[in-house]
Amino acid sequence: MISIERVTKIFNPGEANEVTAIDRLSLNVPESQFLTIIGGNGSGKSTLLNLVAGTYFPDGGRIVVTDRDLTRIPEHGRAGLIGRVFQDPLMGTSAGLSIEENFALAARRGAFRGLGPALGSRLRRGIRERLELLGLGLEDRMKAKVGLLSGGQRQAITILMAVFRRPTILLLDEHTAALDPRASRKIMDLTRKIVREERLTTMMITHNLSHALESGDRIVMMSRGTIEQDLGKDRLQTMQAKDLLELFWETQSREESVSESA
Amino acid sequence: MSWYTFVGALEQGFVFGLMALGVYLTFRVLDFPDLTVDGSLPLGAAVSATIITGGGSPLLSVGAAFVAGILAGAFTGVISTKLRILNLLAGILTMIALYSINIRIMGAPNVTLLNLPSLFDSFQDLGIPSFTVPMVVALFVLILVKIALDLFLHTSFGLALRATGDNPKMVTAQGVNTHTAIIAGVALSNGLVALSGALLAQSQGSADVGMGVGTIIAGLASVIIGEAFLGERSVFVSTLGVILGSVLYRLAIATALSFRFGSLSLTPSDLNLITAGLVIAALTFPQVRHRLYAGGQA
Repeated sequence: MISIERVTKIFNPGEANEVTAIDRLSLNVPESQFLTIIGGNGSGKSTLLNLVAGTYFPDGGRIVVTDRDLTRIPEHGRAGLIGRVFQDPLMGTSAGLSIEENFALAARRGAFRGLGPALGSRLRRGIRERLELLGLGLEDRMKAKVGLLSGGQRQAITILMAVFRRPTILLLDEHTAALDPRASRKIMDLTRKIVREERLTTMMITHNLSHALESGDRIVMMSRGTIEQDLGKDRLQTMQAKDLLELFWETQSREESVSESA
Repeated sequence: MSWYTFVGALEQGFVFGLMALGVYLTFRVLDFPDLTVDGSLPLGAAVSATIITGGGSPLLSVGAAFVAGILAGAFTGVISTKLRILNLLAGILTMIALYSINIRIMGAPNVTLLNLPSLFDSFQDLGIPSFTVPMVVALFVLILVKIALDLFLHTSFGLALRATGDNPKMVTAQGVNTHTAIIAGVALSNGLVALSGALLAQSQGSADVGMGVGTIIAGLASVIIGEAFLGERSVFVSTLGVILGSVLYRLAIATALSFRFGSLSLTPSDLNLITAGLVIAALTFPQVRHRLYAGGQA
């Protein structure tokens, strides 16, 4: 469903600080798979997600989603297919607008925005229904400005917004990293619930190895712009967090010894 | 202050209120500091005056001024987004270019509209004193524009504009083309400012290439004073605040100009100083109010 074909991304080509963030990476994500991506800082995880989302264009290779070649389509052009949750809880919502106005924006993700009213009674009902599922009481505060909410609340809203119109793929970039353990747990539970119910094709980046094991059908470990490990269901059945951590450290030390000898 | 002066201040408050709504749209809604307005106000005046002196209808001239303003704003928006010129600089460049363009349009640095038809003529037999007619007409136009703007900002497209100014990264992920949003918003804003210029020319009886100097200051002062008094609770309240701010600003100036301390009095050349003082006071006022209620906090 997501076909990343020999994709390369080089930042600052030809300059002193040139860096190859993604190096001829190929990855195939079948429909409805929940893929987790882990890896050290600078391994290229976020860059990969940004390439799929269209924030950057690759320097080589193709990105195809359900037979549509997205490679040269700008981010806003492919937004209709993609639901996205960012690491920064403040980035997924518009602080100056109300909760219902934020949802009104999400309700038209990828669609034409004309001069019709943004909010109506039917849309408000739909928003209220989704908010009630959170159990946070936000459905009684729909006209409150989002800037008044906590990071966890904003992230919960961002997730609901990302799937308000069913996305073809869901991209989660360390979306619980900035939250406290309790909020982080709530958001992960919400994530798993939504992905399972909607059978969404999902790519999630995380540093939290237990989240990775609990959620993923498949874990891919990246290092220096390539995929080092690709662990499917059969291998994951028997793994625990400490096994994954060991694998992670192995990869890291291999990285370090290569760069030391370079 | 005489009744005559008061009505004059109200008239200016309403006519410039249109401009202030335009400034609100770029500065506050789009978060785009747009200096084009110093050029698009006289642009509207020039287009309107030229059409009227050419024998055209005042109503048509006002419509043409609006379109001219839209084109000027679109130009700023395009060079800012597509050519990646800093938004502040883009506005300045358009403003500078408009100086020459305005002279070309008028065929001279200024044009007189004395004894020529104006939009206000058709309203003279309403039974109100003739010197209040421009004020009433301006108020009427202002109310229409406010209603239209409030409605627009609640449409899907208008909501996208508001979000673009607030969080462009998020709005791109929601499928909004921020370039389109910015160009449309800056265009509409300058359309309003040019409209303001057209009404101004007809009310003061002339169009002059230099009449736009300081427009951005007056616009910002109006927006800021309005926020100090009414806050930013909603779009409806914000635009109302802008109008209130514009009127209060002109009233404050009229009041200041009528002060006399013995042989000392303020003159129109002191206007910039007065404005600076007003804006500082307006910016400080919310903080002072908060401190009084919140029980003091450094």
